[in-house]
Amino acid sequence: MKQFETLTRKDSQPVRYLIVDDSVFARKSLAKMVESFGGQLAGEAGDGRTAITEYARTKPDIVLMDITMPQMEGIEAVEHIVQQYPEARIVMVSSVGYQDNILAALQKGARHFVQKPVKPDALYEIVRYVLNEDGVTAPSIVVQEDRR
Amino acid sequence: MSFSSDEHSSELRDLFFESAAEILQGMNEAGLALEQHPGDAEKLRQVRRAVHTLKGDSAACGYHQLSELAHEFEDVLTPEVAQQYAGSIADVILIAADTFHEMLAAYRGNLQPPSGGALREHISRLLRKSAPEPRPAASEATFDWTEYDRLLIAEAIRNGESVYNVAVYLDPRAPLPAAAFELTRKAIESAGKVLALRPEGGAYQEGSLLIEAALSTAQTPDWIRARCHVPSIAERVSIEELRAPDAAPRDLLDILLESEAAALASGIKPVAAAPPDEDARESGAHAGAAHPSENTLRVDAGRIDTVMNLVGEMIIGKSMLQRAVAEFERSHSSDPLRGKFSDALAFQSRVLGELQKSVMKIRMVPVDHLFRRFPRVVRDVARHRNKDIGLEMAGQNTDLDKSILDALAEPLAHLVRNAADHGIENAAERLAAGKPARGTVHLNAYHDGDEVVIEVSDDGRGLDREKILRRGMERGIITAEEASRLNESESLQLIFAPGLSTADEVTEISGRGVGLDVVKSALEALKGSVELQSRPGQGTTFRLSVPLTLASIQALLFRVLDRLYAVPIASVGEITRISDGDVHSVDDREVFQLRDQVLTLVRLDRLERFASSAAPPDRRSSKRVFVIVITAGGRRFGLAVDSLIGEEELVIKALEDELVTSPLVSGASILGDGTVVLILNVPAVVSHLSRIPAIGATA
Repeated sequence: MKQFETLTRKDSQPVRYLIVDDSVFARKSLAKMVESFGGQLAGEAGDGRTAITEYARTKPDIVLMDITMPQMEGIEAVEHIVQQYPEARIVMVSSVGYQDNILAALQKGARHFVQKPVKPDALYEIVRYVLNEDGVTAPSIVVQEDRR
Repeated sequence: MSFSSDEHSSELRDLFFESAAEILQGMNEAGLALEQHPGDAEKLRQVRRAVHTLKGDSAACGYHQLSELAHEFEDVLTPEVAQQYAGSIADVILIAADTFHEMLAAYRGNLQPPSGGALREHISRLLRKSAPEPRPAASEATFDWTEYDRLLIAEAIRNGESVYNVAVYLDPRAPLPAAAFELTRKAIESAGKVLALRPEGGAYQEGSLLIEAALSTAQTPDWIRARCHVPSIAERVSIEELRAPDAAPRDLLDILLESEAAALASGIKPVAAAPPDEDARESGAHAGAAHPSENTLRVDAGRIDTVMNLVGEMIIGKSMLQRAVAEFERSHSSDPLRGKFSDALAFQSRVLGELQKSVMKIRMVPVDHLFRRFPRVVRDVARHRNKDIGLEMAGQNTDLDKSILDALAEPLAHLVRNAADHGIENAAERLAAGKPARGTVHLNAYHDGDEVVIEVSDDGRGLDREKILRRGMERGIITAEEASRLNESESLQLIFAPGLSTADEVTEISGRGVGLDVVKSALEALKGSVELQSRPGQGTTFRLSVPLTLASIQALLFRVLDRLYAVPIASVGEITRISDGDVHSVDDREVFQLRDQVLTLVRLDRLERFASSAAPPDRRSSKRVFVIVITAGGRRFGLAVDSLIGEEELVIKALEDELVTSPLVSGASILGDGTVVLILNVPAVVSHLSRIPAIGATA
């Protein structure tokens, strides 16, 4: 897998991720991806309810959250987490055809979204953007000149 | 939105209702204008902006039903719809104004607002037929801001903010365009204060790939670019800094006037609204270029009244001081302090005069605030009665004390409605009478001495004197004998008598009887008067006179027996002297001849209202007495007085005194030495005289 320039927190600690998806395969591939960004897996969850308790336990820097899951849907989990932890940075992960759900999740406080199949470059940029936005990462804002 | 405290919330609510009333007034005016010029795109934009504001304001106040209805209505107000329905859009706007008005009234009374179903039907009718064509996405940013947007931008720049035009071009390959829009909008909003946004509200439109914003921010362009370049969504971001305000001066002036108008509507005059002068516009500096509304103070009217009362006390104090100094001058005629005293006194008087004027000015509002409601009133009557009626207004800038103006609202509306409804004939009748088919109602306001006169006239059929007299006799208001002695003007006065007419006879006697007694008593409560002139076939004029202010008057003081009285100097025509030989008796009345006129002589001590408190007259020898000739509303009479005291400015006070509560007395004042002066209510004296038939010479 391609190596990315490491995203690091200001305190030089690795960025910690919580990955929520009912598919173990999806979780593993996302975990590999974030490791290639220099990140660390703080926790995993297979459903929304577990995601909430895992968030409370691990307080990750980034949550990657699937939309459709058993027990509790992603959106509901977003709502719960953001209500309790307004600073939570949640990136929705979804399959095509869930536009309404994504919009709802964004309105509930999710910070960004990425579509399955997840492309590492896209996820990397998104994570970096979201972390930058909150000043979590070191202030190494790369000014992207318009490349196209 | 939740309010932090009850007080805060009620203040906001008051503000909301006030500005909502302004908005509705604007809608009414624009609606009427659109009725005349259906294609006026600017007027339509005005309405749209107004409705948009109403939507936002009402939502903020928690009035969701109103907000939603306004939102739905806003959709109709597009140039496309207006073009397609040029004939009916004005109508719908007026209906909307009425609907919103009803909803507001309900909210104000904490009632369940009406659903506005009729308006909704109109809206869906307009929307159904004008299937909205999806607007093609703009391929390049144009930053084509509306006037209002440009104003916000110009103001921000003037306040020293950095403003950027930001355009975010979305990647056409980006997934979920609606979500992409949402994220981009959030990103832009997080980058600073959004002054303007396209598409409006940042709502996604099918096929649109561009979001434009005017952003006020302290961040660098690079920072903005990084923030707005949302990964996997934005294709490119263009940023340009706006340096010069590009709002036309006219717009700024408009806004200034608007904010002034809003302030005036709430009874407050901007003390020093920043003039839109070149300096302020060009300097763009932080200081001295504040938002116009920041220079407007909203003050509770009660506080101004308190200041006014204190000024009144000071005027009394001044008068005390003047007396003391005059005494001192008499007893110490050679003391050099005399000059110093009178200099200081003169200075103090001048400043006090200015102070009084300034405070009074604060209370003044132009009558336009009342007049502007009437085009709608006339239009509605005209439509309803299928007549062609124009309204012409003059003197809208005449200032009047706000409390008086407020009290005039109902009587005036009544007169205007009557003039349009019953005064003006229908077109056929008018043409048959050789008059233009279009009838006209005139509203005119002007200053007349210490009074403001407002005239409501029509060029309609006029009053039918015979019918009024007949009605008066039928109702037992006058006897046939009395009726036979009434002259033209006096018989017309009968229509102010309570119970002369009822609604079902409205048209029979030109409808002039309905509630006119109410108009009259309203005017009398204001220490004013109402008169009327009417010519059969030519029209009717109602002339309302009210004092400029209720706070003080310039008055002529005189003495009758041992009491001090005053009349407003404006009503004094002349002063003459007559001897008893000049006084004749006619019908139990005393009259005297003044040049070629015979005038009624009034002796205050003989008026029933005063007789009880005065000693029986026994001093009428052959001596000559002063007569103040009083002119009030076209009528003249003489007032016999024992001695004249002089002219003085009187501060009107409310006194608990049985004499003061007489309708013939409009108030009382206290002189510097503590003497109480009764101020005669001249119009009331006139009408008191005319209630007894066959007296009161007309001029």
